[in-house]
Amino acid sequence: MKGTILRVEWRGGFRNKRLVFFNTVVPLAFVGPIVLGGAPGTHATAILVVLFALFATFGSSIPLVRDYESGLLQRFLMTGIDPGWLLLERTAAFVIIDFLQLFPAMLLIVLSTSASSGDGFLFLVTIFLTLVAGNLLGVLAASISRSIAEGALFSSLLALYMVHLSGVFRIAPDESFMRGLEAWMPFRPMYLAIGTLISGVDQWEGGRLMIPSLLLTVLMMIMTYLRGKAFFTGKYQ
Amino acid sequence: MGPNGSGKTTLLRILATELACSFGSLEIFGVPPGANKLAVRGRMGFARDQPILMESLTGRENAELFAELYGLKNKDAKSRLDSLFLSFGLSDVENIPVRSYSHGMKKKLQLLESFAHDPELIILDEPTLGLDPLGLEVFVDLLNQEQARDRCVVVATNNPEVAMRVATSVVFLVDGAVVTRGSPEKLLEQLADETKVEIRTSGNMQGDIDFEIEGMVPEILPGKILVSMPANAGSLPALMEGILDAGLEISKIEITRPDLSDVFLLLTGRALEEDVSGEEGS
Repeated sequence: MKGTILRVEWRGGFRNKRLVFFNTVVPLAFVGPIVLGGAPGTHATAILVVLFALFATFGSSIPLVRDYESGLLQRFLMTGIDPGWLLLERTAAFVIIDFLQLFPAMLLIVLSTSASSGDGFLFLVTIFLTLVAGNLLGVLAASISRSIAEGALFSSLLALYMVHLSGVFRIAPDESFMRGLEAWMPFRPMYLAIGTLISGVDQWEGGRLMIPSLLLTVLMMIMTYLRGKAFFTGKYQ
Repeated sequence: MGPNGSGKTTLLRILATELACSFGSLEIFGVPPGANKLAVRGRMGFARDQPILMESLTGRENAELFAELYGLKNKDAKSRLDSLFLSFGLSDVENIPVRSYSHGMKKKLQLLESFAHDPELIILDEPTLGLDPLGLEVFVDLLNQEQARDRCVVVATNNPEVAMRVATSVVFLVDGAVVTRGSPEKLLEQLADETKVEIRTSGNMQGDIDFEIEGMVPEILPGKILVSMPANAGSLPALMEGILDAGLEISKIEITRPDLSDVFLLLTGRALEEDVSGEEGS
């Protein structure tokens, strides 16, 4: 396919100016009062993690279910393209679009804190990783959905559950199974990076923290590829 | 050809490898699609009855997208698409977003896209539904050109005129089963000795029309009388006399040859839905 789907999604994604406007302004409107209003660090961090996680999962699941319902996905597949690759290319396009639309909100977070440029950069990297993982989660949620409403419901459930498993809502005891699991959660690096920015206390324990999350994200990519193949070959011969 | 629910679309979707056969077997290009399904799909063009397009893109961008997905090189795609856009009368609107197209324009664009990569097998579901007369002529010309190049085109349609003009073989489907198949000319031979007469009437009928005319079974509808009679229409004067005697006025008489929808009715006892009026087929 040589990036055909990625290019076309990219082009289409910025054609709807109203959607681009709201996707840029709404996160900004959420983030603004939180980071400028003096919310307690733990609360602000949790809310921002939830916001980014939901934005990422919704970004892929809703368009995917919509295009499945309209028959557009099947039409793409009838050209002979690989279904798994189709999903991955679309996900890549959604991640880039989401990142650009969230960029003003991310910039506001960085500028509202006295973070070092290193922490700011780390924050952007972890948000990108979150968007990759969240969009992949959204694709998986979409593949078990039968309507846009179900897509939204399953996406939120999966995202919130992953946020929970990332240790955002509670502190797991040291050496516990849940503590071990946290390290593998793809939203965990973002949580730590935002925590570092907001609180000013370094919660980041070095790049090794990223490795399990990255591994799980790669695993999710493979699952998405296989799910695409299984879903479309199962349903359409 | 077949009425709604006869299995036309299901058959086409199976041929296009979009649906699995629940029984029987399928061979495309001489082999079962199986593991080669993606490669097989790349060698065919498939257009559903309802146009499915990326609404935010322009017509040209849509066509280029599908040409590229089918593996057409940019240089080849440009000249091929230029020619198709011109033929279908879409050149003036090719740079306008598809969301502002009419249904007929979208239909033309989807047809154009299914021909663009020069497929060996073209599968079209109700392609003439919603086309204007120009689009219909372009479509018929295109099919005839493809036929002349030994391309295989499978079309589901309930438009007898289109079937007559493009088909080398017609299959009648009812309830998922083939009733008969043959060339249009061969099928029409079954009604070769008949003529259809439609008489438009006005006024109130006084008494009965004299039906005692050999070989005629008139069907009296509000404002018109339909009758089939021997090909020479020799009984027409007697019928007209009967109508006038019944106090009706005759405003129009139309004599036509039976078409494939009449043969379908004769063989199955069921009417084909007329999709040229804009009704959606199955």
